[in-house]
Amino acid sequence: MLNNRHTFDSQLQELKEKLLKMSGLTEKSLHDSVESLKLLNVEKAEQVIELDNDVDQLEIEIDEYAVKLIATQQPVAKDLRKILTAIKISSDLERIADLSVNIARVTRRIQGQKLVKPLIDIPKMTEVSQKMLRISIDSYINEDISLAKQLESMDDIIDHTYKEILNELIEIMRQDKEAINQSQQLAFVARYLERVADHITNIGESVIYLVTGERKELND
Amino acid sequence: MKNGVNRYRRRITLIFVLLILSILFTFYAYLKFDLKLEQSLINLFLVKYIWIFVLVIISFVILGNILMSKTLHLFHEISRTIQKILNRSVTSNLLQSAKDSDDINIAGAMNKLAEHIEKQLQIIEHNETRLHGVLENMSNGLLLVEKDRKIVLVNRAIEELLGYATNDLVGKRHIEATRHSEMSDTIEECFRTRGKIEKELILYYPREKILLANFAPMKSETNEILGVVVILNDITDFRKLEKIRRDFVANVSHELKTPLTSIKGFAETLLDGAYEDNETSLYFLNIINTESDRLLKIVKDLLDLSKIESNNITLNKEPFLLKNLVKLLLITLEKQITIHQVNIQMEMDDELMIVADKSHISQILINLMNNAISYTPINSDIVISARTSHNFYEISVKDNGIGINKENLDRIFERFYRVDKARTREKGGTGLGLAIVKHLVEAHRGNIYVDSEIGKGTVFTIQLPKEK
Ligand SMILES: Nc1ncnc2c1ncn2[C@@H]1O[C@H](COP(=O)(O)OP(=O)(O)O)[C@@H](O)[C@H]1O
Ligand SMILES: [Mg+2]
Repeated sequence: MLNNRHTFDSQLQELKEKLLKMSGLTEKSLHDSVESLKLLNVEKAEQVIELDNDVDQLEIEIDEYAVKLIATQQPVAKDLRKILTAIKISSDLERIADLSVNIARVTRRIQGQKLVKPLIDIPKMTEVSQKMLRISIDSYINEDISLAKQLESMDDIIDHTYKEILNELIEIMRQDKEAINQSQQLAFVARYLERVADHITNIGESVIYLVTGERKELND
Repeated sequence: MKNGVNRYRRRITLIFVLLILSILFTFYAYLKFDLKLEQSLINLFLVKYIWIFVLVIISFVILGNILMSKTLHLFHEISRTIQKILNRSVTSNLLQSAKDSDDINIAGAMNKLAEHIEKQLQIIEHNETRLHGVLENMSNGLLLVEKDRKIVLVNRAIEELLGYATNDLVGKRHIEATRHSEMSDTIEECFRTRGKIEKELILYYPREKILLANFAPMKSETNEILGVVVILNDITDFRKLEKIRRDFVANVSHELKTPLTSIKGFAETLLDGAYEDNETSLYFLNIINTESDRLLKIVKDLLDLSKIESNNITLNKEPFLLKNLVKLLLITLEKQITIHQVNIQMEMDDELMIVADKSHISQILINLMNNAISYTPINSDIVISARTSHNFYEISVKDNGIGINKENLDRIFERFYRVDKARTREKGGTGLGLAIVKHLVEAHRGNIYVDSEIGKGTVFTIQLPKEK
C-alpha cells in the first residue's frame, strides 16, 4: 500500500514536470512570436509555427498520462484535482501557443512592409502577459493562491492596454489609408494577446480549484 | 598507546588472580576442616568460617574498586574530552589530570587527535569560505543538481539570470526552477550520457538573454554519477557587440564601394573613348573628383573615429576664448554659409573662457554647424549659444530647419545612420559626423542632448564638465 502511494506520488510528479516543460515551450513561443513581429523576422516566425507541434504533442502526452492515472489509481479528492488541473492547464497552455502561432502568422503576412508605427504598446502588453504566465506557473508549482489572485489585476492592465492600442490603430487608419491593412493585422495581434492573458487567468483559477476545491472566477 | 593497553590488561589480570586466590583459599579451608568433621558439622563450619569467605570477597571488591576507579575516572575524562573536541571548545592540553605514565600517553594521543581534527576542520572551513567566496563573486551563474534531480547549490549570479531568489531555487526539482525545457532536457541528457555538454540557450524571462551553458557530470571515485553542475554565462552583450561589429564592417564596405564604383565607372567610360570629347571628359572628371573627395572624407572620418574609439586619445586641454574659436570656424564654413544663405548668430560672452581640447571642440562644432547648415532650407537662422554654470559649460547649436522625428532621434548618433540616405548623400554627408561628435564629447566626460521637432528645427546641446 505504502509502496503504491510512493509510485503514485512519483507519477503525479512526472505529470507536473511534463506540464512545466510545456509551460517552458509556451513561454518561448509567446516571446518569440512578438519578437518576430517587432523585428519583422520571418525566420523566427516560422520557428514559432514549427514549435507548436511540440506543444501539441505534449498536450496529448499529458492528457493520455492523466487518463491512465485516473484509470489505474482511481484517485479521489486532492489527488483527483491534481490530475484534472493538469489537463485543464495543459489545454490553456496549448491555446496560448496557438495564439502565438497566430501572431507569428501576422509577421509572415506583413513581411516586406515597414511598420506603420514602431511597436511599443504591443511588446509592453507581451511583457505583462509573460509576467502573468510566470506568476501563474509559480502559483501552480507552489500551490500559492495569493500569487494566482495577483493575476486578476494584471489582466485588467492587459484589457486597458488592449483598448488603448485599438484606439490608436483606429486613429492611424483614419489618417493613413495605406496603413489600414497593417493596422488591422496589428489589431488582431493585440486581440490575440488579450486572449492569451485570459487563458493565463484561467490557469490561476485552476490553481485555486486545485488548492481549495472551489471554482472562482478571476476575470468577469 | 600499546603500553597503555598492556597496563590495563595487567590490572584486569591482577583482579582475576585475586579472585582465583580467594576461591582457592576458601576451598582449601573447606577441604582441611571438612575431612575431619562429620557431615553435620559442615553447616557449623560454614557458620563459623563464613566470615573468612566474606572478608576475602570484601577485600577483593575494595581492591578491585580502587584499581578500577582510577581507570573509570580516566575513561570519564576521555569521553568528556571527546565531547569537548566535538564542541570545539578546547583545542589543546586536554586531559590535564592525567598522572601516571600510561595516562599521559593516552592524554598525549588525545591531544594530538584533537589538534589534528582542529587543523582538518580549519582547512575544511577555510576551503568552504574560499569556495563560497568564489561562487558568490563569480559572474557566471552556477547550479548543482543532484541525483534526485533536486537543486542543492546555487550562487548569487544565477538569481539574476533566472529571476528567482536562492530560496526559491534550492530544494526544487530542476524543471521547477529553470522553467526552461531545453535547459532541463540538457541536464537530463548529461545525467544519461555522463559527458560534458556545451550549448547556447536563450532565456525569455525576465528579459531575453543569450546564455552559453556548460553542463558537466559530477562523478564519485567509483565513477558513479552524483550530480550535474550547470554553469551559465550571459553572452547577450557580447553577441550584441558582435552584431554591431558585423554591421559596421558591412556598412563600411558599402559606403566605400558606392563612390569607388562610380569613379571606376566614369574612368572606364573615359578610357573607352569618351576622353576624345572635351566637354564630356570635363563633366566626367568633375564627378570623379567629387566622388574621390567623398571617399577621402569617409576614410578620414573613419580614421578619426577609430582613433577616438581606441580610447588612447590624449586631451590637450588649454584655456581659450570660445567666441574667437567660433568666429574662426565661421570663416572655414564661409563657402557653405553663402551657398545656403543662412543667418548665423552668436549668443555668448566675449570673455567666455573654456578649458578643453581646442582641436576637439573645433571638430565638434564644425560637425554640428555643418549639419545645421545642411539640414535647413535656404534663409534659415542658426544660433550658436554658450553659457557657463557652476560646474559645466554648455554650448548649443540651434537651427529652424527640417527637424528629426522621434524614432530617428535615438539613432542619429549611430555610425552611418542617416535619416534620409539619398538626401544626405547629395549633401556629401558620411553619416559619421554625429558619431564622432558623441565620442569626442564623451572623451571630455561630457554629455550631448538633442531636441527636435519635425518642420520646426533641431537643437544640439553639449555639456562639458569644468576642471576642478
Ligand atoms: N541639424 C539637423 N537637422 C536635421 N537632421 C539632422 C541634423 N543633424 C543631423 N541630422 C540627421 O542626422 C543624420 C546623421 O548626421 P551625421 O552623423 O552628421 O551624418 P551626415 O551629416 O554625414 O549624414 C543626418 O543624416 C541627418 O539625417
Ligand atoms: Mg553631418
